[in-house]
Amino acid sequence: MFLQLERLTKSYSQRTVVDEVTLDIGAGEFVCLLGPSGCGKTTTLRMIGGFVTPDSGRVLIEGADMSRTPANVRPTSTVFQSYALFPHMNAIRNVAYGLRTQRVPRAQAEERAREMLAMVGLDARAGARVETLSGGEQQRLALARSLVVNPKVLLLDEPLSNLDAKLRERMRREIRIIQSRLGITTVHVTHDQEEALGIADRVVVMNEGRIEQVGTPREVYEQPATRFVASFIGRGSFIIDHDGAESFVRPEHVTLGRAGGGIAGTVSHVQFSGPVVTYFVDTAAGTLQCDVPLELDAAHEPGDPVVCQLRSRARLAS
Amino acid sequence: MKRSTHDTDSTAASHEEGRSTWGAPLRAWTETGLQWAMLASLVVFILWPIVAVLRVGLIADGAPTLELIHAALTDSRGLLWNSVFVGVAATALTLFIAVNVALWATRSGSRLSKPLFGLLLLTMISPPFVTALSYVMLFGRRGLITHQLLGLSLNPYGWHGVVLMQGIGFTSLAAILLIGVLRGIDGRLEEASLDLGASRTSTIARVTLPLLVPGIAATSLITFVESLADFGTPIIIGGRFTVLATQAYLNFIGISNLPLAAGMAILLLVPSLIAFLLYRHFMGRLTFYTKGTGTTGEPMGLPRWLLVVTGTVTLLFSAFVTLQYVTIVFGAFATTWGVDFTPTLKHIQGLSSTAFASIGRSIRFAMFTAVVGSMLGMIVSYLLERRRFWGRSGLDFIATLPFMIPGPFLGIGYALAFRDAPLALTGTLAIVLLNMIYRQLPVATKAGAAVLSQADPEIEDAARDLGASEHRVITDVVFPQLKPAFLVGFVNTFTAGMVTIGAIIFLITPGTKVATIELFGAVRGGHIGVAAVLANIIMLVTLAVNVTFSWLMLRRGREERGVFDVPATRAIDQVIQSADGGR
Repeated sequence: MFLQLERLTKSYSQRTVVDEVTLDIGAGEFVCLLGPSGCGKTTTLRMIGGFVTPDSGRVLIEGADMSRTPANVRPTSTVFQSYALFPHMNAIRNVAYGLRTQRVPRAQAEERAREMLAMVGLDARAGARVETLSGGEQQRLALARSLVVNPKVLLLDEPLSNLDAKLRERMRREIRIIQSRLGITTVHVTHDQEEALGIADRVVVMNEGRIEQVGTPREVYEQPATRFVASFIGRGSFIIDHDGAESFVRPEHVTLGRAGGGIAGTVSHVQFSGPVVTYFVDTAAGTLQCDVPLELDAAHEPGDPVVCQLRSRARLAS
Repeated sequence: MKRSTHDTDSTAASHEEGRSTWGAPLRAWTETGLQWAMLASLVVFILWPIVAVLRVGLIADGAPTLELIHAALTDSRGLLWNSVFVGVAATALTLFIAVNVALWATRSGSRLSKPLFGLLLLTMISPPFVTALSYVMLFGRRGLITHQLLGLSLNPYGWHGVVLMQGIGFTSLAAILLIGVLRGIDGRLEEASLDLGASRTSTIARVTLPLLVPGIAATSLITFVESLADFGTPIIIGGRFTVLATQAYLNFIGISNLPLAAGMAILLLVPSLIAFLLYRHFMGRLTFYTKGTGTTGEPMGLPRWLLVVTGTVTLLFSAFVTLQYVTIVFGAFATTWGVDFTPTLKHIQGLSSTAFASIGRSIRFAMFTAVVGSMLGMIVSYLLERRRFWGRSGLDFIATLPFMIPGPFLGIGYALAFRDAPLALTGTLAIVLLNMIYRQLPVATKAGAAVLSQADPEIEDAARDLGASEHRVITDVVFPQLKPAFLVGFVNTFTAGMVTIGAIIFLITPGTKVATIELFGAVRGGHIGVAAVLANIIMLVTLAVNVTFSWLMLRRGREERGVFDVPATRAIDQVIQSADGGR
């Protein structure tokens, strides 16, 4: 494994924020740490980057223990949430900075910085002051600055959270394209499940300092391992089966009919959201959410009796 | 858990491992050692002199005693009462004028606001006794106004003059601080008030002034402590009216009664501390309200009646201050002020070589202490702001102490603390310079802290991440961002070095005599012409250096920013806010 986290643990004044996190990440893999704020994902990332020293556990890169290696000699590079661009340097000097600390001669450093700026599409803004750049440009600049030092592991700390929705989606694609082209191992932290599902090879869902589930975006979506993962990612309903066990149903896996086999219930609320119409149906097993594609919508009203058929469901471990 | 505590190991040795050279760990150790030395110096040069005063003033023959305090307290002249009375009265006068001036400067929309701000900046650089000197020249027995114009021969000496001249003398700084606060107030709050149907008058009364309260409180505190510490004005124009600071000085210099001087200095500290505690108590949780994001329109104008009131006060103040400075300029060229106004250059030509030497010393000392002091302030602010170590809040408190301790207290403290080995510095140049540096350290340190608390610590992490050593993080990333704070520290320390006298007058020897001391001598000796020449030179030099330095520092800066704008105000608030050690 390229990057290994072994039972990483960190506490702040008796509050354990990261609790025995173990994770193996392969070379060139793009992994997302996903969870609500306070789940320990950023602290985990900061331990990989060398900004936080773990209380116990190890960080290994290509088998070498990096746990006590300070950030400035660790082969990782972070794109910070705030971008943390040097406000007193222009774009190209920001990018060249990491090379200059490695004593690369100025001319050579600036040449490589320029290539990197071209790669993120910022070559025209090389001489621009940081504060004159737009949010998207600052984001690209931060990415270029991290990539130019050729890190073994790229760390992204909620890099898209300061961008508006449209730009966020575009940057998500761009980051993934650049990452694939360079084949760089990447750990990305986000609380946005759509972002995580859309960008990652594997998603690591975290809660209260622990890993809840590791899997491909499809796996964590379709087979949530725990109640937490199920409720955190996407929408859905928990229902109690005949045997008393709990299972989880995605709204798109429910078919609504006026009669026939299935779970009987009453429509309590209808929500229109464009491509689908969502019905909330009160049944004996619990309230079910049901997405009906717009063209199939039969326009049920609140109070109408309906029957729900479940095409697929996930059994929860706990 | 976002941006958690920074685990920056201050034993920086480990940061360098992985480099194969010998030099790196060695340098890291040296750096760590230096950093600790700087922090330790706060204890030696701030805390220890304070302890020394308390020891001499409160302990006699090895036993604690209140005898000296009692002696100072029961002095028939009512020194403590006089000091507090003058302090309260001068502060009230200063605040009245300053609030009016600040409101007018920020809300009248007049084109004269800019020149007014210039006048305030200019008059902030006021050598001591300039106000007292001009008072004598204008209202003295042979004063231009009272004697020449009105034909009176009054005895102008007494508390009235002291209150009036202190009140006006402290107004410039107070007004600048309040202007900074007013500019920082989010204009949308006033817009919201108008929008909700309030008149301009009630908006001023219910929104603007309440938001200004923290600024008014901080400014009052500064003014009050300044007034307590001022012994020059009462000496010159107080006549038989005398205050604690004056008597502490006379006891120390005149009759060398060190214990009594220490007792008086301690007594002087009491009202300062009470004022400070009151400030903390009432302002504890309040902070300065600063601009939110988003755009605001024009600042709200003043209602007509208020425009007239503030305009009148501002006009009278500006006229009086201008008259003061014009008087000083003319005084340098008048043969004998009050008797013979024939123009002459004899005061300038007759300036003694010792006077010239003292001016040269003033410039060298002020320049040296400004550079060293603001560098030290930046490093201390970085260490206190970004490092976590035991005793951090205690050191933070110590670093702010000189700000609320009257100058004479710290002067006497230095004289008492460094008499004996291992730090026998009495009579040396070092003791003067150290006093100048540490006395002004709070402003530099807190200006630095104000900038750092706004700066994103991730920027420093980013530099580390890109391979920068701790040393490079500071030089490449921290210092460049601290430039405005450095400038505030420099201008403040340089100006103080050029014009203040309160503390160092207890420390100088003939070999370290500076221009302000020479000026003091000339004023007390009644040599008005010479005094005026010296005052003019001090002002010109201070102004020239400050302007040049600001220009050098800011010419590549993005925005034009008044040096004493919001950062300085925030620095001063931070000094006060953090002075109890907790933030």
